[in-house]
Amino acid sequence: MRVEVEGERLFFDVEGAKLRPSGPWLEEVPTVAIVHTGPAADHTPYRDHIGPLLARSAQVLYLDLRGCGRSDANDRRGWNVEQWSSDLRELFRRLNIERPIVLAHGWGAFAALRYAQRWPDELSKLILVNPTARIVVPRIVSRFDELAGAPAGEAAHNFFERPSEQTIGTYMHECFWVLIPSSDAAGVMVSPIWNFELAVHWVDNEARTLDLRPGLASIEAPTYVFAGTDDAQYPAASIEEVVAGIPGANVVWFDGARHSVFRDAPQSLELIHEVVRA
Amino acid sequence: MKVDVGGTQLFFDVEGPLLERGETEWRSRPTVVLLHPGPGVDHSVYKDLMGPTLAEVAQVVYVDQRGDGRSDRSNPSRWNLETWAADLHELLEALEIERPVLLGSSTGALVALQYAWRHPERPAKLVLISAVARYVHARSIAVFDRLGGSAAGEVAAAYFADPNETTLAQYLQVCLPLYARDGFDPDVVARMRMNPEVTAHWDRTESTRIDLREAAASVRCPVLLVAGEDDPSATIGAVEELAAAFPPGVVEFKRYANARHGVIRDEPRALEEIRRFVSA
Repeated sequence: MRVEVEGERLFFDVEGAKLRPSGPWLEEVPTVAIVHTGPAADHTPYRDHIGPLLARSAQVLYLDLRGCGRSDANDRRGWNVEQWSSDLRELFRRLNIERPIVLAHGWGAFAALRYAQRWPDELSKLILVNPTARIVVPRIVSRFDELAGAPAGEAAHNFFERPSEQTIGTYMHECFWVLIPSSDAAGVMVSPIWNFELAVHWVDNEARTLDLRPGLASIEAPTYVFAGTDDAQYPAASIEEVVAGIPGANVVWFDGARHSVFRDAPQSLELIHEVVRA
Repeated sequence: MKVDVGGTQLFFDVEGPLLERGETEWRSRPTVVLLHPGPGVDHSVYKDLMGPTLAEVAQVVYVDQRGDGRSDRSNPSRWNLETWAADLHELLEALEIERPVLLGSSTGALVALQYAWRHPERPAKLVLISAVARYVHARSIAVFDRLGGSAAGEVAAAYFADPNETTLAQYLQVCLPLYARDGFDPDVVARMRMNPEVTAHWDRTESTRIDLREAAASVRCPVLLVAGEDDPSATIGAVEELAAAFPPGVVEFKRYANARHGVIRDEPRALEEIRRFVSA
């Protein structure tokens, strides 16, 4: 399904009913909206692990952010965190979804954090997997260096400093397998409808100056961070800034987990499930 | 979830994702919109059996129609087929559901037919369960007589003659249990949010004069018609009349002996047929 929000149609899909028969009642379960990582990817990888698990206890909303996946990508003026966060809110408003849980991963955490800053009382819980408040290029480059050697570090440096069709091509070639090192990498690579144009545009524009740290203190939603120590694109030092900045944030670290904590640390799945059910 | 259709909020729920993994790419499953019976009942009647079964092969969208369940009550001037079909159209537009399979039981089937008449290009398929083109009360009363004795026939006759909340209460007590061969699961009944005002209004007004044979004649998509031969509401004679009204070749007619209005619950093969038809 898609709904139109400010001129672009936003794709969403649903797994699990909201009202479920339980003896003489229909029992209401929470709604969890999954905000995908990127930039350039879409919601589909979550169908392989966390989505179906959470659908046992919640109505899961998979969505593609503006410009991504099956959502419209007509107007790049809307490819920024301010728009993505207000899109989330508008989508919830249009579908009458009250007090959702937002589960955001990697790049998707920018939109989720911004949402929680702008409308502090609207989310019932904020679950963040490898969230960062900003893109710190030297940190990213040095983590790629450490994990995969100089060619990866150099590819990351070139992409984040001079984003283009060419540098993102090299980045995907040299760095993707560092982010998703498991045997699933090929499957994850072919799952999304990629929009590399959006990635180049965003890295070349908003990513250079975006810094959500100042607003972190205003976040009121109970926040749960699940973090991998070895995600080069969303480095631990940057995740720590988010944890330190949000009042009362809970954090669980997974040693050695890279970008897909879900795959690299499967024990995270049931912990996230517990947060949703609590 | 709810969606706004011109100032009225319609409740809907979803079960089963649209996308499934194909061999090389994600592909879309069918979307089935379930239109509940009544009016005056809600989507909950599909939640335990029909919805979960179809969610194995399709994305299922449950809707409470205007006046019912968790949707806005609106007002009696809008409790009619034309509005319910228009609401359905708005909902499909708002959610960008382009080629739905529409499934309706009883009056839900009438909404599906009305919609197909107004928007012949939209439905991919119709599943019409316990459906008629028009209600002929004398036929119903005869079946109630046979299933529940003359007392049941009399209560039905009294309700049809003067549908109000008092005669409806008697009808629900005496006649409704005869809708299913083994009665209804009390939990299913308890889960319904009923609005007897809508039911009585419908039976006082539109149900006395509708005739959807012309609508049926306009249908171009495949239709599965499912009926119980002992249904006191959608009598088998009336279902045959509807079946005959479709253009040649569009209808598959599945009728089951010893099954009633709740044919899905009375006859497991009926649900299997529907599942097959939706996924084909």
